[in-house]
Amino acid sequence: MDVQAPSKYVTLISSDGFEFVVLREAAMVSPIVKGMLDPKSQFAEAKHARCVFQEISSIVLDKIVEYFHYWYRYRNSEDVPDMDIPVEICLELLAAADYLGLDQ
Amino acid sequence: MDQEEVSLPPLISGVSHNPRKRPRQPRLSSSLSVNSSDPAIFSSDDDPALDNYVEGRQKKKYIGSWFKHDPASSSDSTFGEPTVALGPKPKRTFRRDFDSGVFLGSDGTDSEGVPEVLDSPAKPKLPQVVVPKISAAEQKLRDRIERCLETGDEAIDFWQMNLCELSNDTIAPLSQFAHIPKITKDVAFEQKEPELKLYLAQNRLMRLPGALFDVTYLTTLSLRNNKLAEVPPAIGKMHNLQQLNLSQNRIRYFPVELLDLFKANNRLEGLSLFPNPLLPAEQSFESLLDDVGPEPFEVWDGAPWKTTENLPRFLTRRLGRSPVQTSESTGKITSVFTMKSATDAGIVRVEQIFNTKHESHGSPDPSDEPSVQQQTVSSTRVPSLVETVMRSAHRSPHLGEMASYIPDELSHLRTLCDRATLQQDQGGLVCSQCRRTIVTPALEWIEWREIRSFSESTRFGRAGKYRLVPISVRRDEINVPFIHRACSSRCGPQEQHAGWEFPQGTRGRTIGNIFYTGPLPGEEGTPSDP
Repeated sequence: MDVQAPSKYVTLISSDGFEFVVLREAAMVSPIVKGMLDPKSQFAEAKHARCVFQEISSIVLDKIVEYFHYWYRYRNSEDVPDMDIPVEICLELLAAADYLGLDQ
Repeated sequence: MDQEEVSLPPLISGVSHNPRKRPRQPRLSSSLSVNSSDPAIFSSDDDPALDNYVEGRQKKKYIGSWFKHDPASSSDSTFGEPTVALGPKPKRTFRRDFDSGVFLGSDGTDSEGVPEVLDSPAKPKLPQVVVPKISAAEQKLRDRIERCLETGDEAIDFWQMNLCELSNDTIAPLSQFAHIPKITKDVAFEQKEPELKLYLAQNRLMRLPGALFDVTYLTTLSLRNNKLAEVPPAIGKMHNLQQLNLSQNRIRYFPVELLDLFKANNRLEGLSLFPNPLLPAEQSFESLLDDVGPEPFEVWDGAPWKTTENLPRFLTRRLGRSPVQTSESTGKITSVFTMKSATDAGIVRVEQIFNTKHESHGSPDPSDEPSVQQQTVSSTRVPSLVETVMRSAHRSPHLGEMASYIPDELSHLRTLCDRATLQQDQGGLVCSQCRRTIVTPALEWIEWREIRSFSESTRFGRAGKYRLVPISVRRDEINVPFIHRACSSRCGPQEQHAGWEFPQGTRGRTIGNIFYTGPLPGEEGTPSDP
């Protein structure tokens, strides 16, 4: 296998097997995902551009992916609308966000 | 004599034959506590079967003629046979169903059947809402508020009542206060907004409930001599407030939202902020103060503007700014300067002293306000996911429960939730710049301002002259610290002058030491004239 340019999209997989294909640049907002997908590293995730999150369910990962794109879309704009998060997943999402280092 | 008498069966000792004279079994209150209903007796029941209904009686069967009466249980043919005394009575088995579906009201004659004291209160099967306990003093205040609501009394005096805590539930009914108009003959019916006055002076309050700031019609709020450590930013919402007294507390700095009360559409007239242990600045702002001088402004009253409409009641100006504290959404502080260390040390370093601006003016038109937009390229306005989640949770009423579900390994998140709950209780934090609700401010810093009240002077002997009077005569109380909070670095501190700032919607202009309410001398129209 020769070295090829990293793909534009990465795949995030939830614990119950759902696959989310996300823009690589958007997913890079999380330092943890960024570290996993760093092409310089020899992680299996980086080689195949696939990250499996055994602890995150699809419902939560869906919101995280939504946040990735929310961040990507509004990162340079002045007027940022609020992202709506249902209360029932707040707790899990909070733990997941903390795990992914999304607190900057 | 020899006549044979009809032999009667021997009496059974211990058992009376008259059912009405049967001794009552001692009742056990524990067995009764399961059933407090009255015995089922109907007026139509006058047959012997009635006895079967009365609680505690055993059902009896009678066989044969009256003189052979014996409990059927003893034997079928008791004739001639000496019967031994019955053993211990069999345990009663007759029990009415718990919920018979028949309600029988008490007629007041059978109170003996109802035990006086129940041993243990019945345990509810469904989870019950825990009603937080409130102190006696707060209950008193609650009653007082209720009475005021009923009678339409607008002043609530609660001085020196040892009030330590004040919950949202106590204050919330006040926001429903409605003015009760006086109805007298020959007087026009008048509908007006209530003017509530709440005096909580000389208590021991440590913090204020958020519901207090939702009481729209509060015109006077006295919190003098309490133990308040902070004033929630929600105070800026009290548009009708005319008198505010925060003196003699433990306040280190005020929220910058307090300045919202100076805006033209608000009504604040009296403000007491001193004495409080306010955070002093490391450097003094003497050079700035000398620029204006200790003496109050001269006011030049322009002829064409006779109306006092839209004149400011308070003017402020920035003197200096502290370094900025930056923190992550989880509450971890990332900057060298921290607010806490500054508070502990009791003195704050000054990073910037603002430049004086000689001339400034206000205008009733908000679009005229100079908008300073400083863009930082590397920053974004998008909140972090942790912050986004916390803001969503902050809006919901279930935030308080969240903390209890967080496992011990994530204790830092629990701290975050607890802090957010506390903020929600007090009305929440907002970004000082963009007014968004925030949970963890990304930036915090302190700015010192000088406040002067703008009041009509009578010194010159005639009305229409105004002076800018310092709100405190003490030199060390000139610079008042205000805390600023920002959601992102784009809302961070911006370069601004130290000139007098006109609250939004007010008019007037200053040049040097002179305040002009009207056009400048020798000038026809003014630029700020709409």
